[in-house]
Amino acid sequence: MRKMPEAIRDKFLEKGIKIESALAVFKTDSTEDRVPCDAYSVVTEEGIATLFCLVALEKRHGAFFARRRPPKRKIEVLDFSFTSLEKVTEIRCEELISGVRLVAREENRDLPLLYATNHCSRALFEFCESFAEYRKTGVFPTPKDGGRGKCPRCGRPYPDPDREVCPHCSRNISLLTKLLPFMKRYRVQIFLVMLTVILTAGMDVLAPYLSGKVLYDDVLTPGGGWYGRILFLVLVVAGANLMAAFSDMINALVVAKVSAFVSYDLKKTIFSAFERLSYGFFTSRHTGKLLTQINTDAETLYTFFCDGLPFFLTNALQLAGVSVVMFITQPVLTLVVFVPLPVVFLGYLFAMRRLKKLHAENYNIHSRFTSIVSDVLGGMRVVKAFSREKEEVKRFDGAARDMSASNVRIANSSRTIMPALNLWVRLTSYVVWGVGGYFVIRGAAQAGTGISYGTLMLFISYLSLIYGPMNFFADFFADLASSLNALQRLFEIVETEPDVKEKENAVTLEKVRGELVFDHVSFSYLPGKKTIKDVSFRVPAGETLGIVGHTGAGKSTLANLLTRLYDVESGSISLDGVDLRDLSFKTLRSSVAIVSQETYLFRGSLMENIRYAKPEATEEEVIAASRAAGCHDFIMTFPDGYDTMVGYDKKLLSGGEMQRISIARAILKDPPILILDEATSAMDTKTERRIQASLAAITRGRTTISIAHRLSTLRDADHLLVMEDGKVVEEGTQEELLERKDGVYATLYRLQLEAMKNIGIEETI
Amino acid sequence: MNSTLNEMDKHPRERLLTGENCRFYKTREGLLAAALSDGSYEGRAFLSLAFPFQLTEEYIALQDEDKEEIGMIRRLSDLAEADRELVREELKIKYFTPKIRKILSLTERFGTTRWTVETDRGKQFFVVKDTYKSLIRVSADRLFVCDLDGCRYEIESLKALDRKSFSKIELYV
Repeated sequence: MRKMPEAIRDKFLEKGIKIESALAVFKTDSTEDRVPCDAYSVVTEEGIATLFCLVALEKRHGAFFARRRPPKRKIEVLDFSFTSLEKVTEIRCEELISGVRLVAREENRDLPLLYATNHCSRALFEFCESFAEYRKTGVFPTPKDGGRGKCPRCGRPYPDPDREVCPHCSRNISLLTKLLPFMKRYRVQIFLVMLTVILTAGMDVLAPYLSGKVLYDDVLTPGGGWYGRILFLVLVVAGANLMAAFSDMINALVVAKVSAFVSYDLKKTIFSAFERLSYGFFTSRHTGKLLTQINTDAETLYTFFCDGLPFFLTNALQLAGVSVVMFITQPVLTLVVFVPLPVVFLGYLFAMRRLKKLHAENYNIHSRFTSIVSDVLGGMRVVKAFSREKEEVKRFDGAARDMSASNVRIANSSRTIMPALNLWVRLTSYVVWGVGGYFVIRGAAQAGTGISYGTLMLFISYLSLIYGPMNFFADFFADLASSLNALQRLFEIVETEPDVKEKENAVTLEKVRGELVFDHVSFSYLPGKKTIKDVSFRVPAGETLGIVGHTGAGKSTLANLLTRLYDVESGSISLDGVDLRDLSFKTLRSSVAIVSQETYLFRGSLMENIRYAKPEATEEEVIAASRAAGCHDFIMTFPDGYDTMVGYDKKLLSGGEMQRISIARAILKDPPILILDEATSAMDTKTERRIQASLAAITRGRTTISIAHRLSTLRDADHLLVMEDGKVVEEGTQEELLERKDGVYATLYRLQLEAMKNIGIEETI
Repeated sequence: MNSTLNEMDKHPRERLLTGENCRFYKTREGLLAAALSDGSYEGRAFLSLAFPFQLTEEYIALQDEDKEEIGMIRRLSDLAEADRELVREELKIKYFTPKIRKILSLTERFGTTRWTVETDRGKQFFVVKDTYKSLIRVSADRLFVCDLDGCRYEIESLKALDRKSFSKIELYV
């Protein structure tokens, strides 16, 4: 586990704790009074010692170089406790609202050890598990290190266990360099963009110089170098403008094309990353959020690279060019122009922040408003049933009122702040006029010291080039931040390593017989909470295994493990004697079909949906499979038959009908192994009975795992497994299980039989 | 082994606990325990509030260590006077939540917000993901912040926050 500071180590040695023979060392974060602190615990064979202390890093005063010295720690010991573990049989983590209480259990008493916040709970749960193993086997397992990843660069744990992003080390530059491979293909275009940017900026600086300074000082002034050659000048200025417009146009065309392709590339990369990632990735994140991520993020990047960045480059270059020209022509007047600039920039920055805040608020209110509307429309049946219309109208009214108030606030702010800033810009230009005009007049009076009329005209036309893009600059940095954020998220998905990976030289089986063996399989979704505990069973090829148990017993998890949506934690699952982890994905996926309790129909016709697993199936095969699954009859009642479009409107099919479609899908795939995970749970008992006959025909000669809580579903199973709390508690044939009068299965059987009698079905299950 | 059975037979019958049929005490090790007068339960007491945000002294469930309900305390005042303080103390431990007094800094980076706050237990730092969803609004004025490890922090009153602190979370509430 984590290393502890030298000073703390010494403190433990002082107390006589044999730290070198420690079984485990861990750090928690609070005192008994729940005050944040650093608590180090050392577990030895004798007992568990905990030192509560405050560790303060000594303040490093200013000096830049001091950073290289390791910081000095000041340690203040608050408390020390020692609990003998001699009689302790178990250490438990008791969950509190924001933390956990670690309790040691002796035969007839519980000893509280320490309190910690949830920041440490993962590690503590793992410690409890390790301790249990230690008591069982006498060996303390080496810790897995908290389950939380650490940044490889600075060693700090990631703040979010689901996202491997270290806020200390993520530099914006590294993000942009990661983007380079995407850009590489467009080298030529990017070079073209740069060239046109420089050309546009150059021409934009040159044109006012010609039409201002050169026109007044050289062409119109008698004695000027170009005196009288007005046509020539007009042509040159027009040429410069034309060139600027032309290169700007080329720039826009190239940029639009490149960004569209880059954003397409990004979207494609992300989507293929999605397909590659394991199922676990999707369950730990919100699916809706993932979709928004693909779209909005790629869109954000598109606008940034297409609009933001080129515009920024052009304007920045222009600003630089203008400043240089101005400074060379007239340094003093240049100062007059530039002094108010920071004020204007900060003003825009403030205005943008304020408006952003208001817009964010507006966005929140708006989404609350729409969620109320969709809530009420979606739940109209419930609203009507409880006659809550009035209250809902009131709720709606409140949200609508908030929204209009927020709209007013936005309008007020943007109508006052922006004009005020524009006025300030205009005032600045008046000052330049005034000061510049004064210089011109003085120049006329005493030749040599003033400035020319042309220079003043130049400065005035440059003013708009300098002050014009200021509000854009103020906004640019916010855009940059959000684009970097989008970029970060994209790379995160692209770079995530799938948990379930295909082995390099995976075995491909030509023919799968379908013998399945679960050998001491354990699995947990969350550390410290095992969902499957040491499950072993064998299904000979072609037989049907029924798994019974109530909700949460771990039945569906077995199916998830079998299809390798997740990998087992310990133990192994093998198919025809080959460990699933050594099997190629192709063999595994083509030999297993699953009909699950949640059926999903893609947008498209029923035909396409049934054919999903076997696109080359003929119409005849599809109809035969549908007949077997019992969905042919109701499909034919639709006016469009098999061409009926589904997925748009879920109300078309009932839950039971959807299940039958997915059974047809599985039948069509004709795999050696079939998993029926509550495949008939949404049907009434009578319909189930009808389908059972056809299911029996399909499962014959095929390894089938049928999972159900309703026993009638499993009446054809060769062998039954009763699961409870992740463990197998009973197994055998139906007869064997019924013989155990007090057994779980026999009791369930009696109860369900009674329930069926109540609804008028009097048969044996 | 037979929990399936038990669950099916047992009907959810409420058992009200009062000072008459239930006593609380502290074990020698300092943990709360309960004993029912009919002898059906004696051991460690685990408490859960049915309405933890609003009613902190009513509808308190007494559970065993497997979170199986033994009975319910309708009102804390139904208990014997000495027991009330014990129950209150245990509830305080279980529902302990640091109270935010001041928000020193709140920055957003890569979709998470990073908070440095001054609480009644000292300065604390935490990271929140999905900020809007991680704020539990109990009333117009009171809210809980859930960080990504599942630790909670309470803001007892938004109005009572100083202006600087409030302007930092204004966007999210």
